[in-house]
Amino acid sequence: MSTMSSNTPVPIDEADLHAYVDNALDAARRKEVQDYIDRNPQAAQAVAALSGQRQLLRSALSSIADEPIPQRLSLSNLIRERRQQRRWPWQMAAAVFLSLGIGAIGGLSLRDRTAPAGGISALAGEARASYAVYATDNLHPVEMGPQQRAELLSWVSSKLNQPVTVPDLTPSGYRFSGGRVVATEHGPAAMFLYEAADGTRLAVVMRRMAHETDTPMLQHSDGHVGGYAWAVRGLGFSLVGTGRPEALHPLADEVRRQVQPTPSTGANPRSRAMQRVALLE
Amino acid sequence: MASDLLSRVQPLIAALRRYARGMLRDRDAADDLVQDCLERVVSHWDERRDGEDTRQWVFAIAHNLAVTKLRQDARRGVHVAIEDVDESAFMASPSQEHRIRHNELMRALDTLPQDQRSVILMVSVEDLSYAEVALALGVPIGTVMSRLARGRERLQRALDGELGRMARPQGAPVLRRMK
Repeated sequence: MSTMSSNTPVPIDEADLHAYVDNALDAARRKEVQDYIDRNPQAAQAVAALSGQRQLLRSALSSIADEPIPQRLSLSNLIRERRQQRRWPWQMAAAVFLSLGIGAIGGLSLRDRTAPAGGISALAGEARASYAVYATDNLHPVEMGPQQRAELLSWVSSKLNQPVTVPDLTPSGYRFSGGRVVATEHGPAAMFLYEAADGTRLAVVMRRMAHETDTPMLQHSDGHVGGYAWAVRGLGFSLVGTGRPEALHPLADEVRRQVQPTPSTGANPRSRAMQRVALLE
Repeated sequence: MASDLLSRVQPLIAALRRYARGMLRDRDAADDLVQDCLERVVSHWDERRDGEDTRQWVFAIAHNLAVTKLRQDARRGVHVAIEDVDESAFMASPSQEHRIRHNELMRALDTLPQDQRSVILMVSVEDLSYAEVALALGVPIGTVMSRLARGRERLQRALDGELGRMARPQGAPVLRRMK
């Protein structure tokens, strides 16, 4: 292995042979290594082995790159999902809240696996489940219809131990068609159902929140049924339907605007937050 | 930004799947890893350093995820028995003989420490330069070269052991250190 010609300026070693096989040498060095290999059968054999191994690896793995790429690895889908997550300015607001230690905001993403049980993510799932059972029921979707609104409200208010009103979505094209109390793992919830002229149904589900009592609006979906969920001062809301998120979002905003606690029940959330900020300083 | 991201990362997905499969063997686990990697790429796209090479950056993320995954598996005692490996994970070889050889190769590759395996895959299959691999792994170039040399030597020994005399016509040339 020491048959190295005396006019070779830099001795050729194993690393050079690897680099030769990997095409990692500049032209001058490559020439030197080539000359060396030509004169040295053992080096030639080593290079042949290296290059054979390299070819074997490439051929063994090459077919993987020819397989169709699964849908879940679609880059454009991933980019779109990311954009939807980023669109909402409330994420910024939530970050400020978190950094000030205000509110029990458990997580910004519904996919957050550390979200507490019974939090906003659970509420979203319960709302979708209720929608799937009742909104698709053509015989008996509601316990009480729109004519029994007062009775319904007193029923759900007593179950939630909190006065509740029915959000009005008529201006957006959805007529109130009644509601019922539904059971969740985290206590009773009220479900109000709405229907558009074309028969499309929406549900608004609300229940008391033991965790994540004040949470900005989050989008949620299980692929077929989805919507938005949020919580204000211990009461959680979710609007669900089968429409596209862009179509449901303004409706969720409208519901949130209507159910915002009125000044008579206390200062509005922003000034309360401001007061708490002032206390922290 | 999005079109830039799309045009620069899209062509890497096939290579990422191949690298992940080489590292993890299991098809679903490998695609999970690639998905995880792509999500990170999308969410951190704007945080890349100026002039950073996309391929090297993306492979660095994939590599770190693979190392984490392999460590977790080792800790939990997850082990893919050779008999359990989905043969189709490395299918589409032209012939039965090739398939046997490829399976033996993958088995031999499995016996390497992951740091040698990843360098071999990046250099031999993905055509990353030594410098790119060094940056992706966060190690000096000399380390890349020595892992490559040790890994290939070991792989060759494992292959010779696996294949015996049958697959190598005139006796396998065994690599030896030249210095």
